[in-house]
Amino acid sequence: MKQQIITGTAAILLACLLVLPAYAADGTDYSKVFFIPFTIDENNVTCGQVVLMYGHSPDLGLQSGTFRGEIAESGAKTIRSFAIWDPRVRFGDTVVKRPDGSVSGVSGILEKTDRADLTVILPFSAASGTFNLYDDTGVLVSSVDLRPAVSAFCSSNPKDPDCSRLPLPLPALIGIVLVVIAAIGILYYRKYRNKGITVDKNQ
Amino acid sequence: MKWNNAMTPRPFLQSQCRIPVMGILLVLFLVCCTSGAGAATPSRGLPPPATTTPAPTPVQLVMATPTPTMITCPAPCACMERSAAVAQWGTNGFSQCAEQACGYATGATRAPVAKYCFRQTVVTQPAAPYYPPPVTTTPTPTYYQLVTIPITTTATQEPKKLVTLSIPYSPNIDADLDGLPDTNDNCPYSYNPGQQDADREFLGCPPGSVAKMPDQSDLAICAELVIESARKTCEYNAFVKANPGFTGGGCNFKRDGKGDACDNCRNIQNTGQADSDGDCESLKNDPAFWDGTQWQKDPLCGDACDICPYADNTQDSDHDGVPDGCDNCRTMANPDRIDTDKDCVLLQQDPAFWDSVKKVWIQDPHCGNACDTCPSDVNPEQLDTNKDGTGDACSCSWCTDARIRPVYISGETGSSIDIIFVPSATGYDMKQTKIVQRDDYNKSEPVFRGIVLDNIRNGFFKLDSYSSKPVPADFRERFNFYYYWDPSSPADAHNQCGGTLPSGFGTAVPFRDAAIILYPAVATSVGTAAGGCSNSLGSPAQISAPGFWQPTLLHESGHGVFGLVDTYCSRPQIDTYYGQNDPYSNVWISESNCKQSPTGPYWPLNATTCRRIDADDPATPKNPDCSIDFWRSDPDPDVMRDTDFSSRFGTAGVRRITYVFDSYPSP
Repeated sequence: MKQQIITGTAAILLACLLVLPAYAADGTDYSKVFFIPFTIDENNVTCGQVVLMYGHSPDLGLQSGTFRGEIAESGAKTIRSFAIWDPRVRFGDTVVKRPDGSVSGVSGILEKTDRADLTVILPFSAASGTFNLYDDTGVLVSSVDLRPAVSAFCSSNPKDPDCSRLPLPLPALIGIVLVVIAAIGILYYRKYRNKGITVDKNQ
Repeated sequence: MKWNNAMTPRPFLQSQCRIPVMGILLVLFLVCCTSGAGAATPSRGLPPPATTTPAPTPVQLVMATPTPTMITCPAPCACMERSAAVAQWGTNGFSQCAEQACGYATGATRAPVAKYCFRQTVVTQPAAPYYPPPVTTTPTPTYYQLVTIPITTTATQEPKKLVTLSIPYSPNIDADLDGLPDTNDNCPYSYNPGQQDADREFLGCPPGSVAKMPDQSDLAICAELVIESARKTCEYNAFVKANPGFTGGGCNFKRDGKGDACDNCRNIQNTGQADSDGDCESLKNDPAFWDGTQWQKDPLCGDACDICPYADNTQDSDHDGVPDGCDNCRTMANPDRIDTDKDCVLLQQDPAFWDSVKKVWIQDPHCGNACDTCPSDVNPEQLDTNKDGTGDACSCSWCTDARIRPVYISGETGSSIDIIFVPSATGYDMKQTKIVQRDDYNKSEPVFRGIVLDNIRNGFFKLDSYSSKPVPADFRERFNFYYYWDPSSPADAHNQCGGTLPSGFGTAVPFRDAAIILYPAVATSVGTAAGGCSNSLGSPAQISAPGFWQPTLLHESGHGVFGLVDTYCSRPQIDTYYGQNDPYSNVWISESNCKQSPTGPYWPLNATTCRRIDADDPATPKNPDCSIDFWRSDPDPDVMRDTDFSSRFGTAGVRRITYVFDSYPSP
């Protein structure tokens, strides 16, 4: 009997927990990205205003390059690291279609500039605290605190689930708490009532 | 110590309360669950519910709007108001030189009055004998309510027509500003200074405009147009009740010279009985319409009545009353032919679908709302990659910026390679050796859309044809394609290698793995520039490429999307970039690296093909003096070395491409 009660109560709690996502998952896409603009001038790297905005990020793991980006937690633990192409280098190909329709051979173009803009777009994670940019020599050239962007975003979007301190609607919370209390109460009642009956029988 | 009753804790509920308690708990649970479900709201990206376009309102007010085209009067004509011409030369002493207005006279207390080119009439004949003018009585102005009557013809299946019959009328106003007071204007509410009325059809009013009814004869003429059609309808009674001055009696309806029995369109004057598509002849095979000598009922097959005047009306696959040639959705009945997103307009640019001469659909365009997989989003191709019935164009929940036009959506962003095309407003003139402004792509969305589709179909979707080894069978479903449309802010493909994207593009399209700026051809006597650039090796990348030469597009995508390195010979790091782009590179920094290149799950390389990048194929020598210390394996013609239609990605190239496909999304 006790096992049945425990199982039943656990089932109720589990069912309620399964219901929980319905409150947050209202169908809205809350994906966000950090938009981090850098300017590289000679060897000086400056970071513009970091913005957290709704959207999806590109895939970050397939770019080759001598720069390296690193997403770290506030406690400096690295979450992810990936290569970044040096934005000062662009390369291309010269191709000419001749008037007779034939195509010339391909020759290369390499543009190297001292100054270039680099925009890094990262997927939002609540754990992300810092973005570090390393140059082609492995030197940390910029460390960007992402938290102010989160604060600014949340002040503009207080109802965003990643900003809300109370992610569940109050009635839902009250209902869940009541169910939990009631379940504990039943357990308590059953346990001691059964023991009481046993005593009676012995007498 | 034993338990006893006294020691037994007092139950907080008596046993008889258990059932109610459990009931309360159950209710609480249900409340918990149902309120949760109720909190959910419909997700973004769902198509809006189907809406029905309301039927035309029977009673409406029409404001005629002048459409002035100003001209300069040729000598000896002078620009003046008609009243001024009358004052200067008399009623019959002038003629109008041109139909178009030459200006407008305005005043503080009156509406603008059109001015026209007039000249004095030169009289060369002897003066005509004088006859006193006939005594005329100015008709008392009659005010009519403007009424549009929907006329239902004999059969319920036949289409409704609208005939607008009367309008508010005042003798001292020039409502349409055509220079003629309403009392002298044969069509006072439509701008027609020429007063054309050769055929008397609708009393000189341009087609679709509103005729006046200044007197009983005109009233009768107008009346006859409606009586025949509306005789059997309650609308006619309602119209007469609303227009007590309207009698319309005494007229017959044979003004087009055809009695009803011979008339291929009884309710509309069509003197010529034109039948462009010849469906009247087809209908004569139907005894229900034609008894061998005359029509038994209105065949509605003359052009004036024909819902599809230039196509064979006998084929109507969905039996919706709209012949297939004019039906924008042949498989679903849609007599209204509504096309909210104007896909059909775009598709009329495609000769495979639309015969612009005959003005008929050659094949089912599927562009009417009834067939449209995205009725509210532009998608003339109706692509539905995942076959869920919802078109790709409305399957993109992440395309929140209106400038993003999804074309082909195979999966969620993040799990697919997202490629967005952007039109360039520049081309490169090889003869002048300079960048030139070209609006070929950025002024017409249908044109650029066609270019995008061409590059998807003949570029990316032919990746298998450009590969010497099999690429993943579902490689087309590994991409999402879009284009970015903002004519006010085009890209520039030429101001730097890889070009410059429009301002605001970055935040509008953060998810793109590659932005490809397509530029138009500038053909000159010395050739057409067809090169391209990439701003990175591997995605995310910004690429410029010709919109007219897919081999270059694939070469640049080899760089920017798949991370492949050039295999032609140039000065390293001066003319192009060389490097060993592990894993599965197509270029190595040493012969041993090439020969020992790890196979992984992919095809092994033929070690004997590893060679310096200076070792050109003897049959097609290129840069014979070039020799660099990088190594390659793929045979020529290699897409990463040559850019023509015979080029192929070799084994190393296909390995890298497959690796990239298999790596989305990267961990």
